[in-house]
Amino acid sequence: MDDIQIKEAIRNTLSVVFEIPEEDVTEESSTDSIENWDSIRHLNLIIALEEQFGVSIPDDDVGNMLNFKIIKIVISEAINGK
Amino acid sequence: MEANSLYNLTSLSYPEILKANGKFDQTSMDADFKIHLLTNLTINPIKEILEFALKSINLNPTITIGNYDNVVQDSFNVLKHDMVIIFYDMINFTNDFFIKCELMEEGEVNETIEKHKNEIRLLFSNLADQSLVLLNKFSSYGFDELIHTKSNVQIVEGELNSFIQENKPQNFELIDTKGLVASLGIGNALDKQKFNRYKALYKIDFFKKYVSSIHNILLKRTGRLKKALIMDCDNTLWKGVIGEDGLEGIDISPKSEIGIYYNIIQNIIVSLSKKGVLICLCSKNNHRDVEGVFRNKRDMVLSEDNIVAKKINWNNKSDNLKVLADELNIGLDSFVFVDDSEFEIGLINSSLPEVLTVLVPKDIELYPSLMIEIARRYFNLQPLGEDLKKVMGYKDQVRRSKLRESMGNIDSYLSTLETTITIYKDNDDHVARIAQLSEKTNQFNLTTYRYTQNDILQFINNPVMSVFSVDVSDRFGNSGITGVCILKELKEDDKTVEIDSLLLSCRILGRRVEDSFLDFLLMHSKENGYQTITSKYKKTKKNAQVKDFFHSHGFAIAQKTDNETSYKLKLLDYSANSPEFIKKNINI
Repeated sequence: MDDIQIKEAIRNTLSVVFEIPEEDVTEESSTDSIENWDSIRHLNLIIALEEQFGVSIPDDDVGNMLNFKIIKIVISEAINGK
Repeated sequence: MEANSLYNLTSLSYPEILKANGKFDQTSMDADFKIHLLTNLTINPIKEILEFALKSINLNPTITIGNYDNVVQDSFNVLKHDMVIIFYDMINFTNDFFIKCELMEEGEVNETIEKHKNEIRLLFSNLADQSLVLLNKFSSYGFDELIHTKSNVQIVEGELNSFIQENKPQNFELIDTKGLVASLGIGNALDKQKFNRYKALYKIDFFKKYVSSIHNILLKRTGRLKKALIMDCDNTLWKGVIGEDGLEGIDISPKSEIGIYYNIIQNIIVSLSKKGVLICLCSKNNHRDVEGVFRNKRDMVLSEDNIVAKKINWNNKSDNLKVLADELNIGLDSFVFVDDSEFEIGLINSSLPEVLTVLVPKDIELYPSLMIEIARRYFNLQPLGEDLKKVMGYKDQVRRSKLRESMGNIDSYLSTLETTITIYKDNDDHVARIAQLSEKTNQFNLTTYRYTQNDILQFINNPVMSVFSVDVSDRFGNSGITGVCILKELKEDDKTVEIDSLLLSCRILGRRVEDSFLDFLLMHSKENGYQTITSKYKKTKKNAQVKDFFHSHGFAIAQKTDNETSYKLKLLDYSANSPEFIKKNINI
């Protein structure tokens, strides 16, 4: 999976979890710009990402994944470390 | 999304489920369905999975989750829902229960057990008015117990489970969560790390499994269970083609490598037949060849006695299924059709999409587990005695319709049946059967309110309501309790009574039992001093046949909208009007 594919899949996941159109998800998206992003949905997001990419996200990272860019970094690391 | 897609629930990922949820056509939903969850864990992802499950059977879901770790507190003010689900897990009884459990002294263990028994008693009484409550059995999985036979956690688990088993009200159903976890493997079902951090004990695969496992309960609760299993013969009931391979060439031997799978399949079918599922054959074959297999083939498990109706001919199968539906007098959407031919399955899918089709897997080893899964999901596997009678009843029905063909005038035919109806009022022994009819009857059902046993019991005990049940017999057999009517005196006017529900099982329709039963209800209400009777027809996808029932029986239309018509009849003007060839036994 290359970078573009990973970003595309993350956008897609954010869009279904937070129920917003895919075009509204950008690399600048964060808990500040997405209204639905609360603590409960955050856990749903983590579960969705884990299933989408077939990875297990380390607990220490979960609390940090509050914007698109950090999510991308954590997912790339998880895929490479798989 | 297509109906029946829950079939694949466990193969969909969570993002796929979320995506699918957005794609259902909200406007084509049959009814609303409200679920409330009470939990002492973080179980949020189950919400979307339940939504998916409900949408895939055309129900419009509203799913709410109570406050975290407020199971008992919340239970005091739960409004009436279609279903309440409780996740009250031992592992989070208190913050550190799972850590210190094994260090507790015997006295403390007993105290814990008593405390939780009391809380459960509160749950039982607070939720007694709900239609249906699912409660998970207590489970010690997830505890870090040292292996020994009488650990504290096992004692608590055992005590509480026997307590709920013995004391649960009848509107509670217990879910074997431990079995679900075991079927996935503990590591795949539970996440200790997420539990420690967020109290999210269950992994997503567990929730998919859980929701799949309650699919049958959802179908039952909403009257959507399947009733008939239609089997092809060659390479579906046995290995081989009887017309080509002959009696010796086909294989169902439990000793042969391939035959054993067909032998298992036949065993499954026989046990379904014993549970009240209507087994039919639909095969392109010579009638005599198939008959020969049933009569002469060694190792056959299925016998002709298990078969309610059959279409062994060269007609196309969609026509055959339609004829079967007519003969059995049930809807095609109650059919499950099994065939090994992709052509036949494709034909049925395109011409009769309401039939659930099952293609025999190419990998024959998967066939038994597929059939068991179908059976668990779609058929009622906990029948009452009535369902057994029903199999016999349907055979009578087929005989009756044959007799009907041979006679011209319908009333002269009906008068040869020597039909007797017996009417009961507020009979406690019929509660289970009445609830079952209320949950399953679709066609002759004027309002299609679904009531559980608990609802019915409350009605029986309510002085301004009456619950009538009717038993029908004729010279072919006894159909058992097959009709229900619920009458309710109006709050604002004690001279008016309302027909809340009126329904008859489809297997007794077309015999004017409905006329006789309604006549009784009207005369009875009149004799009890009511002046007016009101009623409603609420339109569903399936009850078009009773659209004009009240009108054609003398009721005047009071109000009419697209989906509902209300009626009124002055009882003073009514005089007895009942088919004379039906004998009435009043047993109230």
